[in-house]
Amino acid sequence: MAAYLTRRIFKGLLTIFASVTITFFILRLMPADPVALVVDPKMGLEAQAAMKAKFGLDKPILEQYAIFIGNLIQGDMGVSFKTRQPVMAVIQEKMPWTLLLLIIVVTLSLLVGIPVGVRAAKRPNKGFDRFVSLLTMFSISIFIPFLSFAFLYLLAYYLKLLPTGGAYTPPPADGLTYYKDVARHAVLPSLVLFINNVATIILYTRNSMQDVLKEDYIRTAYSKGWNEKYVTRVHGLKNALIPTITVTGLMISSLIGGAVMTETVFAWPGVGRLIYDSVSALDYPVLQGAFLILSATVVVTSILSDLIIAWLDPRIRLG
Amino acid sequence: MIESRTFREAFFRNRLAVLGLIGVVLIALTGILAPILREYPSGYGSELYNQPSAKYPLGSDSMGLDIFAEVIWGSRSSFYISLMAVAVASLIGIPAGLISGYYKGWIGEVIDGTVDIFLTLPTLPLMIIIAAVMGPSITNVAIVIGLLAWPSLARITRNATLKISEMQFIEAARSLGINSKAILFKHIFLNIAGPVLVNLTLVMATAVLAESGLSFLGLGDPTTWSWGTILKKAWDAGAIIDTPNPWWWWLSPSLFITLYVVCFNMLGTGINDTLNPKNRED
Amino acid sequence: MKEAYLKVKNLTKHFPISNSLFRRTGFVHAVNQVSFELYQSETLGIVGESGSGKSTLGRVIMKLIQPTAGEVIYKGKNIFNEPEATIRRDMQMVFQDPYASLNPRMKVGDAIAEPLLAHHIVTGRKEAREKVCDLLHTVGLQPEMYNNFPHEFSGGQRQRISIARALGMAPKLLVCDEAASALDVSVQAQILNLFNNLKNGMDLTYLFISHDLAVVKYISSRILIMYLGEVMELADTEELFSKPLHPYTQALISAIPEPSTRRRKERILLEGDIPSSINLPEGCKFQSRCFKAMPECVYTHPPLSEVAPQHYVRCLLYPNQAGG
Repeated sequence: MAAYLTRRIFKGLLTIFASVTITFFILRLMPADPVALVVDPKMGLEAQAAMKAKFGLDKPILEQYAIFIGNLIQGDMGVSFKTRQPVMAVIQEKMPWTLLLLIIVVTLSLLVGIPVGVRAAKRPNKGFDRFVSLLTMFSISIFIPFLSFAFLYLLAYYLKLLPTGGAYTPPPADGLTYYKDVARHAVLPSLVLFINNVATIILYTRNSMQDVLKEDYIRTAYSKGWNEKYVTRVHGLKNALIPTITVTGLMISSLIGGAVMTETVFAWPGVGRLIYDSVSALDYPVLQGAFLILSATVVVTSILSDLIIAWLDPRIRLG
Repeated sequence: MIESRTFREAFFRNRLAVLGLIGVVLIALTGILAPILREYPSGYGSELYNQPSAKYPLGSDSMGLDIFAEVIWGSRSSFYISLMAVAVASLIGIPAGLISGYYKGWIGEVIDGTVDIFLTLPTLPLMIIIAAVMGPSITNVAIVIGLLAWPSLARITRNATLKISEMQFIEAARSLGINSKAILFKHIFLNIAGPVLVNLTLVMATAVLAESGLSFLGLGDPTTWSWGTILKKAWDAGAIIDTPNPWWWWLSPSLFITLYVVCFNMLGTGINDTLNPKNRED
Repeated sequence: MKEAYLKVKNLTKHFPISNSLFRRTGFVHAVNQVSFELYQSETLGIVGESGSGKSTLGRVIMKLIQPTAGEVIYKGKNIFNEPEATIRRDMQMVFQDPYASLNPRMKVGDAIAEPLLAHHIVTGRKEAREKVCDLLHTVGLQPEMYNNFPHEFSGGQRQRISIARALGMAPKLLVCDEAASALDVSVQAQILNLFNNLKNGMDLTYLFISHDLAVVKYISSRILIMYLGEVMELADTEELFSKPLHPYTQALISAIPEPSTRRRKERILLEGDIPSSINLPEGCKFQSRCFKAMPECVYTHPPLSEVAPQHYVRCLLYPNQAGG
């Protein structure tokens, strides 16, 4: 177990390092002069020189890379070209908004997706299962801006029920009114992401539940006289949820950074929108930082989901 | 394992697969015949924001251009991008998967480790950055999508290869002195073509989603019509939430994107069901 | 004394078992210090239970697997130091499972033609087709079957196809790994007869690997008995059946069903299964199941000794007579 964890963490660090390295070199290929971007002409000459020296922007690219990695190890992700704030602060400001969406979407998807998947698995290829299959195929195939447009048109433009974008009505109100306002703003982006993600949960739960229900030990449980509800819940679900957990981990990783389009359409001030804005502004320290956070999330969630799976299924031994 | 003739019969008995195939063929034909069907929409038209009518079957946009023509030329771009992306992904992914599955030594480990790392990279943000670096051209966008699709293809090819290379006919071929290249690209490839094909249809589908996304975010090719570009223009013009509200502007390209993806997904599911008849229960 | 066609010297193959990337937890001793000589135009039967290492031995001799140690001398040279091409045509193999040894996606004619073209035995499609039809005829199949796929054939027919494919290389040695075991008894007999006819017609030397002593008896001129990767007994077929020395051989022979109305002679029942070849017993490998086991068998590993001319046995019951 300890050996397994060490190996996983080592591999995880390697993945993060590779991801950071790849993005570093891709970003330096961007058609823009980083010196012109990082040095503010209003700054004093000394401050300009200090900044150049700190990022090593006058040095060859490999040396810049070494300085960058050195700074990173000391926890310094640099300064945003656009706002001159430390990258860490920029990301910290956006992260809660992304997390808010993430928690809503993951919770809803699991709450709806697992029961629907289980029910569809019980009677394969019958009415409910076919209906669910069709629905999931469409919701996986759908283009996020399309879904967003449809909701915006219906609920925001036509019925005028909900706000069209942003996370709150500026200036932010106080107390309960503020929370209500944020909740109203969160409805549409959450709904869009929920529809796109719940299908995956349903699909994986359904398929693995179907496989599990064919296993011998389920038949044994029936023959012991347990009723159907008990069998699916106690014997089936625990084993069937293993792929669901893996896919939930992947979903979390993709929501952290992949909600770019949803956050862009709804002007939601999260990490996805930050990535989009930073590309437009050629703000590559921020991009670099966002990527570091993203790959770290991917690594951590995948280790966590493997640990949960091992805990659920004693047949899987991590070693 | 099924022989090709019986595969064809089983495939055409699968309603879902046939429907998907028809859709795919129709869209491909529309794209190929675009120059015959409608003139390339450019410049300015005189009638802005026209509702769908006989002259403008899908309405006109803020520049007075025919949205029907835009959508047709958009399907041409979509099909081109899907094919290019699949070609790039296959060119890297299939040999990588075959080699890492067949040679289990260090070379296999290295390729597999690389695939592992690439699979954990956040795809869409990375695509955005690479697209920004490479500059907006339709071919560049296709290459970016292909470059980020190869790891999953490599993984699927590898898993199938691992299974097949354990089989006796591979050992038999070795004992007959058939060289490794022929074993890999003939004997093994013939037997893994099924799962690989299914994955390729998925790559085709996601390529269009990715292209539309990049175009929508303004990273596509502004000089070529694609469904994402139309949506981007509609969005920038406030066609969804502002008045006047030309709903037809964003609705038709959206429906085409969905149709395209659904058709490829149906085709993939159909092929998969045909290859594994055990999964069918009706 | 006949001329040695192929010499196997101290051939050893261990498979490492590891459950993690960096830690090796042990070895499977599949083949352990096996030595024997194969004579021109003979059929040597290799008999053993599953797990005895007989199939691994066949594959190492075919150079499909690299050995851990030891040599196979062919035409005066160790094949493991020679390029692939030196042995590929002279030695061919027929595999156990006729359902798995043909590529399901290739027409059988193409499957037979492929190695012919690869080795430039024939040039061009037309010549290949003629040769394939000849070969199909040789193994008793209709040339019209060229365009059929493997799943359209029965097990026996498929095995004939595999044999035709091997014969196309005009081999001198044919390694048959359980080549008849997966077939029905009547089909088995047909295939064994085919092997016999081919041998006479083409002057082939056979290495016939099987778990079935009755089959091996029918086809072989000499028999080698293997147990847990080691040679237990090696003798001419008649000698082995008339004077089986090793308790293991005696047990195997007594287990052959006899079509006779006479009261059966007493059967020797072996208890238990073949032990795991990961942690081998220290002394004689057979002692855990031997009905004649003595106390010293536990710690003394018996050598293979020639107890009568051309009759080798590895057992402490028989002190080395021929060697002194």
